[in-house]
Amino acid sequence: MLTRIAGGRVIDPANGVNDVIRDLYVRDGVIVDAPRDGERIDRTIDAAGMIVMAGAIDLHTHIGGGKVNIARALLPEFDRLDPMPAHGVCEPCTGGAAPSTLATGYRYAAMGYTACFEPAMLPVNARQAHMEMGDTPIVDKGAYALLGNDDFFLQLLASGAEQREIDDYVAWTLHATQAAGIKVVNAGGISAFKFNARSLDVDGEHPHYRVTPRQVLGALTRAIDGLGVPHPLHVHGSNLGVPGNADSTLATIDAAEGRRIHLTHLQFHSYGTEGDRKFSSAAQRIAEKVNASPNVSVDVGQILFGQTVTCSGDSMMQHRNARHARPAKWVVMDIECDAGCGVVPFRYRDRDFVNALQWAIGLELFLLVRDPWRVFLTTDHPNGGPFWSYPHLIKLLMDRSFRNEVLSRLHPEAATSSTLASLEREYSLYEIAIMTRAAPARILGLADRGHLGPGAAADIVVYEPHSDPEVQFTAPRYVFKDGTVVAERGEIKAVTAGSIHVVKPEFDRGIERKLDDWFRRHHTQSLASFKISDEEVCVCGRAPKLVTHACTHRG
Amino acid sequence: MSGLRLSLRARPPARVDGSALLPEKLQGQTLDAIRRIALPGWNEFHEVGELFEVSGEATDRLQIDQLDGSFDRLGALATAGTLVLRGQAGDLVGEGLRGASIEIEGAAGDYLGCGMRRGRIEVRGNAGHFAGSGRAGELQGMSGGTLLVRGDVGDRAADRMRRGLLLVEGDAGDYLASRMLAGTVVLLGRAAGNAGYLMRRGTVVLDQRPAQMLPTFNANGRQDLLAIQLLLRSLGGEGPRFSRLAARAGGFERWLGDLAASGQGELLVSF
Amino acid sequence: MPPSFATCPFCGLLCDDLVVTPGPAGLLAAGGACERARVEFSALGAASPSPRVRGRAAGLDEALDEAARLLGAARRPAIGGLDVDVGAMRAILPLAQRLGAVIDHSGSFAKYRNLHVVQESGLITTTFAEVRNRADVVVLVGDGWTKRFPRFVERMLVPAPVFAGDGGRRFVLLNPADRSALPADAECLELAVPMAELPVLAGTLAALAAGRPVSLDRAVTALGGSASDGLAERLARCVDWLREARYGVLVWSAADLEFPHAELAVQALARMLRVLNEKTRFAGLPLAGVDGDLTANAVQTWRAGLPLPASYANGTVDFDPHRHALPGRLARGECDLLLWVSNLGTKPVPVVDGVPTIVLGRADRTFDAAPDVYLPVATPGVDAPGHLLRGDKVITLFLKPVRSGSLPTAAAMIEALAARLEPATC
Ligand SMILES: [Zn+2]
Repeated sequence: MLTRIAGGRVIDPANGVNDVIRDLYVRDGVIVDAPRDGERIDRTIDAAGMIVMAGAIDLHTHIGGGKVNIARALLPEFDRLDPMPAHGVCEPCTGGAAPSTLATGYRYAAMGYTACFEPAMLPVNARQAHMEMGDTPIVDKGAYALLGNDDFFLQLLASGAEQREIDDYVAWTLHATQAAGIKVVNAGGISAFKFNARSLDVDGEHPHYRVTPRQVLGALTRAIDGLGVPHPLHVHGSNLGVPGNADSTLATIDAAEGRRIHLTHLQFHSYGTEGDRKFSSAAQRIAEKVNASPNVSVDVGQILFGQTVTCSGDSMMQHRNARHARPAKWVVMDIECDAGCGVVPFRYRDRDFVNALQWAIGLELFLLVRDPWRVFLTTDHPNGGPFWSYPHLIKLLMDRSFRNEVLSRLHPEAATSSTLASLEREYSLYEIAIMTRAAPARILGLADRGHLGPGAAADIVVYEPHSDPEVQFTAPRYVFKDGTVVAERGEIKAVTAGSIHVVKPEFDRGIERKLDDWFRRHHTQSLASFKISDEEVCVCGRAPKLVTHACTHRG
Repeated sequence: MSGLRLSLRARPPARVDGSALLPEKLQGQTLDAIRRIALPGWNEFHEVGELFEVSGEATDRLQIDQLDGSFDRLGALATAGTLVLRGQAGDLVGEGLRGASIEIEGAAGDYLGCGMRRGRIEVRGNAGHFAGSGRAGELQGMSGGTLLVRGDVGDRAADRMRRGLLLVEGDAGDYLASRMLAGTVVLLGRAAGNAGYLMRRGTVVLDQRPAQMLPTFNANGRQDLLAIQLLLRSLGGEGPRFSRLAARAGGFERWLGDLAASGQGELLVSF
Repeated sequence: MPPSFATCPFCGLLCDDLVVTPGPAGLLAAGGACERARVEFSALGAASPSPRVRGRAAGLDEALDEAARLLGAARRPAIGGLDVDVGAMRAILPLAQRLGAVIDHSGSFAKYRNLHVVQESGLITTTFAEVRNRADVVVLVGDGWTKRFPRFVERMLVPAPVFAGDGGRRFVLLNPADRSALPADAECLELAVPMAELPVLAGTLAALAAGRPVSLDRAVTALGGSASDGLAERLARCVDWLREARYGVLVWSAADLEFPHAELAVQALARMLRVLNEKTRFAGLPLAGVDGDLTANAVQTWRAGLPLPASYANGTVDFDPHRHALPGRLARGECDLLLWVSNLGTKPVPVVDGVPTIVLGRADRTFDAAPDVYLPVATPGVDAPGHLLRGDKVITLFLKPVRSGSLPTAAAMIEALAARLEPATC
């Protein structure tokens, strides 16, 4: 079947197209060239006057895995406030602070998002993460496997293993867990917490392995480049949330020594210690460094006011922050010589100085990092706020007067302690399309997503233009997923199953001998049980297909 | 009798959520309109007219007769008016109450007044477990208003209670005031085991010494506690048994705990 | 060729070092198999069931037709059992929502003791490999760690804790338990307080761990001890051990805590863990995963956002352990049909007068009273592949079938049933 999306204003930064009126053609779920004369067009969607973009991609959103499920179980009081009764093709479920997988799929798709990446998949918990993602309908999924706090890696590093061996282990992990990238969370710190350390600076020594986070970051960034994994090492830095952590963040960038590195939820890592309250914005310093370091990309992790729940692998910092939990209940776990997790609910309040300044710092970062190809729109869902507040966030970026009007209603010192009020930048639609489509696809190595050229998957969003970007981005006129209209005006029309995106760099399988021995001596499952096959992950992930993206050796 | 009167005449096959039957919502509606209100059961909705005889006039006073325990959440979230329930009132009566007055001429089920914030509930008979507590999975119980039970309460009364007043003329089951956060409980009868377990703050006045005091409560001597005397005196209007306690109580044996939690709660045993 | 190992689905440990082969009297489980695994594999191996309608052998189509007829006629169906794998649960939930069913796991009461604590205070927990490699002080509550999890000691507590330094591993038994289940040379402190006194014991330990002034004499009296039995000294020593631990672990199995309001005792222990973690590391290990309880709950929680027990009545999903617990719903006569799905265990199916019952059950299960329809289904890890969550909640293992059988999976059976129902009208 051939579908024409006719006459829309196409914004497709990956192909350099900015607001050009043209037709798009879709056949068998893929965007195709214009048909030859006389070829039958089965269906025409009139997009005249509307804005057409590729489906949006969220490269950092906690949608699946044990910690998210703990958060769901932890907070029934907010689920009760956000019921989603059965409606049309949608099954009943709940949203709330940590939404169900069904709600996640429905709400992302209704908003024009067609691919989501779970950033903190614990290797030992990978099956469950894939299952939860599998029960997240419509959108495509991928996940970054967590390394850098697992005892195998740390002992490898501590014993002075060759980089080649570390590369093999990283690649083996990507295969065994069916991941699309590698993330490190508080490098070495989660493990150090198991040895009763309560903080670990970038150059601090791990109490048992005597290695530093800098060494961990060095080894992992080298491995990612060496293996040619398209997504840079995804880094949740040291000292999350601690005033003064901007120094750690700058040191983290230096630890990459020019190799590619992605700093996630940068807002939580851009704090100074100036002022009476010993809490200040370091956004300017951080943004300057990012602007000057082309190897660095970032996502912001904007906070938005209201109830949320923070789900993190960073058990060390979550335990430390647990005293701020609201409601006052929280879960911290040490996990299987692999990693950890901490689930702590928060309520961000606009009249609270710290929260208001966090909000301002996030926006400063968005506006001060100049290259929209290197800064991504995230709230670190659900940690800084739910993903369904993205349209509001887009409005904050596109509309300076709205932004300043909101700022004026916050704790007054948020304005005086940050540069936000003076920042004039307003994002254009083109820049929004870059940061939510073209750039995430590029940085994840997704050749067939995030653009509208022939050969791309027909993940397409058609917006009715509106003077208020929040309205425009909340409920697009049409959302196509692999060519199927899955949502219209915010209402789900079809529930489809998304694909799983993975990378599979080549490596020397000899590493399995060492791993097998390690599993026997330390683990509570066998190496064979740990590994997830292609066939199995498609069952877990209910995926019609596994999309493997190319790795090209760099550096 | 003035006001609207519903008298149950047909037992629904499964529990029904009765939270739509609020005086403030029905006030001013015609009897026919009220008969057509649909109450959610289990995969079916029951019209009020099918289940109840409807009579009187819809004012700020609503009386429901012949209750048999098959309705949950009667009076939930009510903000104004008077709701009179006769018979077995069911579970979750007055859940999250915000200001109305509920009189139960009969008994109440479990979770009476759970999460109530303001207003008043009075039960002539007994109440089930978790009176004045909070909903399962949430952190806080009752956070305001007055809950008065003339009969006994079951286990875990005032569990997670945060503010307000729970008055019980009869006995209390196990774990009275478990995990209590703040607020006041006055019990005229006996408390069964483990009163005050994991209590953090708040005051529980006991007219009779429990058979056993948890070892994580420590005696803090005999005290006059003027504030408590004043409180008890202010309860004179709640009935003669409360005024007798106020008149009799010379002072209190004070126990502080639970030391397993933050330990700032007090059990006051009158003497 | 090395042997192909099987993973045992019959307790929360999910041991993956079994060797299962066909024998004369059923399946022969060897390798790491414990006694329970041997019994279960053997029982399943010998069974050759057929569907039954009211006790009479029937063809699959006939039985499915009858089950679909009963389901179609039900207004207020309940779905219970749920000792099942992920695949079955994924099939059950859409059916539950389509039928507007109330749904609960057979072990909800036990599981809820922990969930209450998570939802109403929070918890610090750990997993098996951390226990194995790190734990230098292990506090054992009840006796489920040996009774319900036969190889827990062998697999997690016997291997030396390599990250614990040189001190080795010490044990505290809070309640009467079989000391001989532990390594013979292990240092062990027994408090042996009756299970019913756990709330007082837990509160006392939590207060002592926080350095609060608790009278040991009064504590001993409250715990039913006497001045001469040394309990006071042992309590004090226990608290020393708790505080000296470098990485302590507190192990309990919620199913053991069979006394009213047991969640409060767990909350006191959770409180103690919080206090201990201010200075050192000490984590809880709520041993679970029996009868698929964690699996059923996890799938319900991720798909709906709320745990079990749940109601899908009226096109919504609602969580309320008080109102939706299946035993209460059945006892009050509110359900007009019971669909019992259990492809892992053989717990008895509740029999309620006048309530038609459909059982999708294990091949070897028997009944005191024949259900209206019995549809034998494959057991994951025996006849069919499947996935289960392990007892420490984080690991999910793949269950590879040990034989190729002809029994349909529970998921396939549910889909066949759903296909026979009238199309949804909404
Ligand atoms: Zn994150």
